[in-house]
Amino acid sequence: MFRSLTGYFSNDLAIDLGTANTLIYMRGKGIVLDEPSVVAIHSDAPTNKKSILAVGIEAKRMLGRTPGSIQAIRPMKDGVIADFTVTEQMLKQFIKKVAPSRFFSASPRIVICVPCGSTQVERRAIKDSALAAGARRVELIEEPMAAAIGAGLPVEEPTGSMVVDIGGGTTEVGVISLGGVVYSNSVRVGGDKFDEAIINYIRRNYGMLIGETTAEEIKKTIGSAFPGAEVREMEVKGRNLAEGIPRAFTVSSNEILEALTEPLNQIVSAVKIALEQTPPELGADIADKGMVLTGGGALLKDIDRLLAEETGLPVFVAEEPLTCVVRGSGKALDKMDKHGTIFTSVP
Amino acid sequence: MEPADKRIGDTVSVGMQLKRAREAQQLSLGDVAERLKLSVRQLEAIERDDYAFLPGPTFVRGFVRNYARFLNLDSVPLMRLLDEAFPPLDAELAISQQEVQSDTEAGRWGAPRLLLALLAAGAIAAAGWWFSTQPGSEEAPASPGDLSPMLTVEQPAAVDVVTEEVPQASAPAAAKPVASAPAVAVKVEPAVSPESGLRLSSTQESWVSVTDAKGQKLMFGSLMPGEEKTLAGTPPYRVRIGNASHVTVIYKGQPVDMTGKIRGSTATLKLD
Repeated sequence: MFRSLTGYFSNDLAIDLGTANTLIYMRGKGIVLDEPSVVAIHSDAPTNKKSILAVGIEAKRMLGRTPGSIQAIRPMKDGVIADFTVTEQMLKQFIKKVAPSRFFSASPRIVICVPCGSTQVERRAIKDSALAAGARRVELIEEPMAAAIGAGLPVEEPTGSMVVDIGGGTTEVGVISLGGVVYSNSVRVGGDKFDEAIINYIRRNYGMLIGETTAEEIKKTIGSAFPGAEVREMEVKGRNLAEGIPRAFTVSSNEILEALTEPLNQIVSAVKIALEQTPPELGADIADKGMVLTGGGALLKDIDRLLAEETGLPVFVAEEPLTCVVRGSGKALDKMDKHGTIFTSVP
Repeated sequence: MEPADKRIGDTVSVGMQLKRAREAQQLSLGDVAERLKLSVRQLEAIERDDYAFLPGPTFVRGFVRNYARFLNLDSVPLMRLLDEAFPPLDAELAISQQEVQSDTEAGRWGAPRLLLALLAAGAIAAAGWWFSTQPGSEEAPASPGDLSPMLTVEQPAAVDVVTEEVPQASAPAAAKPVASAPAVAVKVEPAVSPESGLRLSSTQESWVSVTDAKGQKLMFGSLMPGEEKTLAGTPPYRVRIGNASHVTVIYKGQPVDMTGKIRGSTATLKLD
């Protein structure tokens, strides 16, 4: 009785605490927050006191452009918490942004998703930081499950569905049937690794140094996963390593494709391993229906084509791939009281 | 829906559009199947708009989008047509626009509505308290003619602060019917029959608390010099009087003897 009463006043949230972006879904309101998982911290030199300067979009703009006293940090790495305190602060700020505490409101219940490859310690850390950020109760959901629900796959039916969620830090491959994860696999390759690969490639081949933000822009503009008919070019500015002077130069989409080959191969092999491990009945379902791509990585041009060619199975990108996971978690949140099986437990 | 849209929806279905585009590019179903990794059967089903044969709405949309992209068609209008073909899908997708809107509505109004109800309940309680603690002297000017004997009998427990004129007034009023219900509601001043009446008067300011058998506080405050109060409730009453030597208590027409009940200056009485 009391729970239902407090439930009435609390704004229950579903959070996709991602390496690149954090999204928050509020029950009854939809997605209320979509910001980069970046925190800018100002540290006062004499007192050594640290304070949060900005979170989200504002902080991201500072990334790589900060003076000595300010640090722009991405507290999540490879889908898990790298800096506990900063993550907690970030979560607190985000929750405050979407659910300003009112006199009557109880602290929210939160569904938060974790990479399926994360260890118990990492899950515990995520759960604890959500509790410290003011949650009343925290449920964890594995990302492939959330992604599948968000993509609209028939997760509750006795038929196999395969989902590949390419996030910022990790790529999750999951085979789901009857509301449970039959097989899941996580590789720590995602959008960040793509950026890194581009930075390395340009340093190696052009002798130029570019920042993460520039690399991300290159990836979004001309990056592709499969050789296309047209070759696109883009002008990029970076620092010439030999001269030490900023210079502009042009890269083509074929070069970026070459740069991305290595991380893409890791994703492809993760998918192939998943298909190998899938029970034959479910494999047959997947052969018929194909697999669904979600997450920001799915927006990389022709990545569905690459996976289709490599596996010989139909592959398509979910609608609004960026928000699939949080929407799925949100749906799970709505069903929180009814469905226990879709959540994962933490000791 | 505009007629133009409808015509397109009727004559050029999703499958038909795809088929035409494919034929215009002189591609065979085999070519498409090779590229999209779909079986020729599945492609035929898509072109026939026979979705029963295909795995489900999500997949159909995905396949059609891929197919359209392969043929360099704009997939957005096709998706819109598919929306019509799969009405349940909209309900299925959690964040379809309408659902968000209607939910927002509920979310926006749900809490305030409850808050309003709470406030209203609070206001009613406050009004009740105010009426019950209202000193009787202020209500004295109310015309005694409106008082009905019915009320005096039925409601003494509910509204219990009465002026001293009331008992006298109630006798002539007994003949008169109640003027109107609202008038009564406003000027509820039930009389106290002398038998159960408790009358308090004082020559000096003194503090008095009177509680009846139901635990209702008939009086909780100061009695001014010269002031007289008549209280009615359910006997027995528990009376505490400060500065008691200056207070006269008349119960059932008889003065109550307080000698021996006064401790210090406070008297504690039980009247039944």
